[in-house]
Amino acid sequence: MKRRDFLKVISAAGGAAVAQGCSPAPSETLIPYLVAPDDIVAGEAAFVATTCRECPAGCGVLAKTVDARVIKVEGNPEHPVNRGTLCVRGQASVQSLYDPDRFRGPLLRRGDGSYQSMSWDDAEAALAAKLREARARGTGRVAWIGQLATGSFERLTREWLALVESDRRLFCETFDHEPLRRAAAMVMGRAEIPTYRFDEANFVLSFGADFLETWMSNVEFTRQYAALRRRRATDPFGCFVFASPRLSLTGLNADGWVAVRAGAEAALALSLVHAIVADGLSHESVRPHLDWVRSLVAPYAPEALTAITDVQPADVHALARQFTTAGPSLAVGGGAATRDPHAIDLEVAVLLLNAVGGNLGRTVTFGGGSALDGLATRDEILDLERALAHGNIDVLLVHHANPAYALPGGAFESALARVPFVVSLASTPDETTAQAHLILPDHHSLESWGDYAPRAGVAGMLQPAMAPILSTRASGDVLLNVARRLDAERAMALGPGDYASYVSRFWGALSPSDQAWTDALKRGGRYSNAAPVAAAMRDFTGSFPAVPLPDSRPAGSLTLIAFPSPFLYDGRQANDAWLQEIPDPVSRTVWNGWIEIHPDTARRLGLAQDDVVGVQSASGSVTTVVRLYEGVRRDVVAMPLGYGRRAPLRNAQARGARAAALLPPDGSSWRVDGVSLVRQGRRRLIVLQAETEMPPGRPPMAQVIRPSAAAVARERHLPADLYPPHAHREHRWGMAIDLNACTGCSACVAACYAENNVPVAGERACAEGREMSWIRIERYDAPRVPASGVRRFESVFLPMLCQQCDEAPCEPVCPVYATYHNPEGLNAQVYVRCIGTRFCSNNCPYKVRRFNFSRPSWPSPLELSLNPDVTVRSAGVMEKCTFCVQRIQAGKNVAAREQRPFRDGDVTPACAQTCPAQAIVFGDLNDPASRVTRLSQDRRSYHVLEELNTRPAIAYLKRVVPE
Amino acid sequence: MPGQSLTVELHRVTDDIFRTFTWSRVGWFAYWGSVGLCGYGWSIAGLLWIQQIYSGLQVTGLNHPVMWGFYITAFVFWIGVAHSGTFVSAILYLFHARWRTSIARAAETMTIVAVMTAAIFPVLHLGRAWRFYWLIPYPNERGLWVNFSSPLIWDAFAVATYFVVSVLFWYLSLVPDFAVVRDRSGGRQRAIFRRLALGWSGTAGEWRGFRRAYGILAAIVTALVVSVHSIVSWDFAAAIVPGWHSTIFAPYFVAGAILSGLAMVLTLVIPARFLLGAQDYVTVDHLENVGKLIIVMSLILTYSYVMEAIFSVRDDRPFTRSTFLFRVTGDFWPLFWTTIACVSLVPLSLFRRRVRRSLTALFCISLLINVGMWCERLMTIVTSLAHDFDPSVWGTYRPSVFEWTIVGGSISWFLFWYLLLIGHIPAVPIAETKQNLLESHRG
Repeated sequence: MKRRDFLKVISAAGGAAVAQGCSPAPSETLIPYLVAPDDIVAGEAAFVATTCRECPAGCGVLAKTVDARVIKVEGNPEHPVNRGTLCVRGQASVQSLYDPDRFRGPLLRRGDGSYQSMSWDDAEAALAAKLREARARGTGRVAWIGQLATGSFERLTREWLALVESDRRLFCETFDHEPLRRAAAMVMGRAEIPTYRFDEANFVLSFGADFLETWMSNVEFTRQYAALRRRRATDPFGCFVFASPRLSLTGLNADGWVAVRAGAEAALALSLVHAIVADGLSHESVRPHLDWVRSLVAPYAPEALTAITDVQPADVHALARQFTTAGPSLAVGGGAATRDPHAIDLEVAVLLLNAVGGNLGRTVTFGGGSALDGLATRDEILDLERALAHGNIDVLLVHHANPAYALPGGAFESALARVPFVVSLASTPDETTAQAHLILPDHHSLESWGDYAPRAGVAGMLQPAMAPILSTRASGDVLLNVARRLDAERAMALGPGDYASYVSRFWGALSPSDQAWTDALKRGGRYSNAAPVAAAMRDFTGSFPAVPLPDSRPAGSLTLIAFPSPFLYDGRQANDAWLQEIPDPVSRTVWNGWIEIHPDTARRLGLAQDDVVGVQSASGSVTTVVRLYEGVRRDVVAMPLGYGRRAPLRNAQARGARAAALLPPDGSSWRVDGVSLVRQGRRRLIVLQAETEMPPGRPPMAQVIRPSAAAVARERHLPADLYPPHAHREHRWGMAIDLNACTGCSACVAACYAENNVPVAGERACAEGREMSWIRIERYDAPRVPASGVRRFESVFLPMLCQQCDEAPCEPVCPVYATYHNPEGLNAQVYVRCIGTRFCSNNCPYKVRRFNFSRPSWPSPLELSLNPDVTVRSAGVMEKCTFCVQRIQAGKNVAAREQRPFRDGDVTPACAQTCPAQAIVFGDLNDPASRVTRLSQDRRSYHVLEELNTRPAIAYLKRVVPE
Repeated sequence: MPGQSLTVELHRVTDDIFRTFTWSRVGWFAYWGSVGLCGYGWSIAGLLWIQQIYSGLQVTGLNHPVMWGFYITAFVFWIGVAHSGTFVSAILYLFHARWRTSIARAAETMTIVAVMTAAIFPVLHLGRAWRFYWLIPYPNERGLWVNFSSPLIWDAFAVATYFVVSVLFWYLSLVPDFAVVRDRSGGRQRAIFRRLALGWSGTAGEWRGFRRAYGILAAIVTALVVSVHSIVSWDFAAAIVPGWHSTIFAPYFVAGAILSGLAMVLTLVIPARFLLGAQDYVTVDHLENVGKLIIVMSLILTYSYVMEAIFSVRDDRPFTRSTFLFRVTGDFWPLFWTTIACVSLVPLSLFRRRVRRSLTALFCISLLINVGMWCERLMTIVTSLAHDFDPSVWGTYRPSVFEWTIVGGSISWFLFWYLLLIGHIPAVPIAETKQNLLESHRG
């Protein structure tokens, strides 16, 4: 940014309050969360409360702005959905904001397919002209397909479409949970997404629902699940069983794995209901329903279904007992199982399971008013597709949706080609935009006004955290401007002013200084408790489809399932470099897509790790790379969605393969039977974790504890020293990480990238083992098949960062004191003093130091996201976790300014701040009352590689695994 | 040389050795051609180094976790080579092993040039090479000091001391010889050698002082032979890395250094004695003696390997054992077994007198030992780093073109300076040879 622009921005932000009285300038556009605008000081951070729009969960965020630029996002502690935390994708939203590939202004496609840039005036005029033509040709000739919107934008699009004589508006999400809504309609008479309370449950049974990563509201569910785990840590059988042909990240967190045959999840769920009813375990609340339920599930006796589900009857009965005796429990269904011909059966069975388990009204409630209820159904999408293909639509507006990529097959794409005028309101290029005639780039959500209510009682606010960096325009403003051009008179109904004032009117603000309105701006929305409605199950025997049993498949045939990528989601965030560079928690790979195959299957097919294979299904074929994984069934191969983007995106284009190309084109299923794999060559996948199983004989890095050992006092290695220990007079910073809560979601990793200006190394450097992340999530598996009960993977996720050892091996070997022990117990690293001998890294047993093998770079405008409080390191120096020393300093400064002693909780490093499970606790080990001190003395606490006498400041709390 | 008078013989020594200063036309071209070729070689490496400074260490094969590789290996290797010179000069001198005379000059020159070569690498491998002087404690306005607990600082001191003392030792033994050259030449050469000879006139007093100084320096250098490579070994042994953290490292490294140095002496002297026509001075007997020393050193090393293996396997913590097994069977197994073959097995053939006295065999064996010692250092450094405590970050290492070229360039650099020096000084000590001759005549 030029100095002149910087001053402009500063004066715009700082002078806003001054200007308020005398100009119509939207002076309310930059009201920060903590301080009033005239308090904005250069270099001081201000937090703007807004809402994350990277997925429909709608978490509240505080955008940290310094010098009028967003440098990081953090969860809004007041927001009921996420309570101050964010997931890895939320953290990466800053990367979307400064995406170097974003459109820089409106574009019009010429006849030869190239694009010409134009002014906003001309662009809006062009759109208005096309709309006028379309309207003249009749009603319903304009269609809108966009990301899920609620509140003001929902109303604006509805009113605006009415203006152009249309009501074709679809809100599309790749993960739309439609079968669940339909099942709820069948079972409960309410076509809606239920509200889940994982924290109220004592036992969770998930049929492929990845609620810790992508399913519905992963941050909220992770928090709830962590609470459940903490509460039920000593259950002898564990508190979470995952039934799916593939273990996702969520599955790896489970205490047990029921490797059900793909497509037979519904049959398994129904057989569970059968077992519960037959074994007399059903909850008393379903007594009145027992008769019809019994007859409904009569064909699904576990004993009869073993051949179909591949689950032993004994296991089903054991699960049934566990599910009902723990009560309340919770069953959920999701993932590939809910994009399947049997999806509705599964969701019905899951609801039934919750009913016979007595969970309805306790862990599963209705009337939550989920925003997801507003999503288009598959029939509506197919209907629009047909209308497009038949030339019934003249103008199609696409708003932050990418159906050309996300919908399976290529039908939508070819239908799109038949539309005379496609308008894209996307901010980055995508596969749908490639077909657009006019591109009117929207602001990023962090630059936008708006609102989003993920559920009843949670009305989230979107407000610009900074002025737009590119020549983009809010889609709301485009709609208003075009409406006025089109029909000034009727546009009066939309009200005066720009979209920002439309939003404030929608929120009932009478003036910009309206107390309720400014309060909502400060808090990031309005929050209240929406009471669930009483909903009762009804007899749906008549409408329940007959035998939902999967077809029998020939032995040796392979079934492909597609699963949502925990990081790229449905592919929308594939261009965010952090999400490409942080290793996938399951495959440990970076910068590429893959296909998961069980090692035995691979051996049978003559395939090996890193083989390039052509994958062929009835619908299409793609080429991808083999990743061996014991967490898939032997008859299943699995591919992540979100890879294989074709759009010109520097980090995403042509990376991996598009799994959707293999799926049935009607979008009915994420499962295809009878796929074939042909070896085509070799290409090494970049894997950032060498081993996931501890070599025998070594003390485990990630330790577990059995409930029966709970009473055993922890063993401590006695320190053996030649020298007196370091004196830490004032503070001794320390951390406690609860492995029982950590789900491996990697949000901390992304937060660390954002907070500490950690450079993205890129694909090549990662392949050479030169990634720069200061914190990594290690995973250790100990696959076990207990004598009775379900299989276990016994995975433990171990966040590994600098342990800030008291006897740090890195310190004595540095010849120039570039690393030294500071008085507060940190292994401080002085970048300017470092000459790069790299001895410290060699001598670090935790290998958490990172060396700058090259000069780090941030493609413009990503350099605007740099945290000014943290030095950008140069080539040739070593760097590592500092416990966010800049935050420690800031926290101490605040305490000093307020003339009070330092309190526990004054400092939270970025990783601990964002952890959705709140597994990381930071504080002063000198303070006997601090949380971190108490946790460090917990009987579960241990130090990694304690026997090396490094005496780390990080205590890990062992994961509790069932007997 | 029977039948000749002692005077004639002594005169002939001077003549013969002096002949290495006067070139035939072919010899002149061959000599300067070789020097030029070597200069070209290290210039290429130098250019690559400049590129490496510009683009950072990404041009190497180094990575996380293997932060040290070819460069540190080269450092240890050349420091090892540097050990034979002082060993031959000082220790054998103190033990009155008279046969050492013939190869002493070649070995000492090799020492100096090898230290010059080795000293480049700790600088070259730095992330910020232009800040290398921060390794030296010098008073500065910021009050920054070096960390004396770091083995790298010990290294800096040890290598610098070794270099200074070796140069002094080498120069001292050259002073009488420079005087001979001075007396025999004219013109500019005479002027140069007059300065170099420091006014040596060969009086009894001068000889007495010379002897005393030489003896004292020999004693100091003897201590250095042991200390320098011990300290180099502590670069590794003082770390906690499994496979490095071992008390056996110091003696083991010293023995290894002497072995590689002796091998390098053979590699250089065997061709040189032909080229310089010094067969009468560097006899097969002398070379055979070097061969015998090689056997001793090789056996010491083999003993160290066995001990290391026993320590590793019997260590009650699993890390060292696992590192040892990784060395033997892991990704780098060829390095381990090449080491065993070249360092422990091949030198055993020297037990046969016929092999010891075959120059071809000696030459080949010396080359193999060089290769084996290189592999040993690389194996020690890389395998320990690749598989240490945390299995999730285990890695591997492949040297890049840059590393190969720069390490190859260091051989050019070494030969370049070696040729330049040995071509301009008496390649065999004149005074000492004569003295030996006198003593043998006296019986």
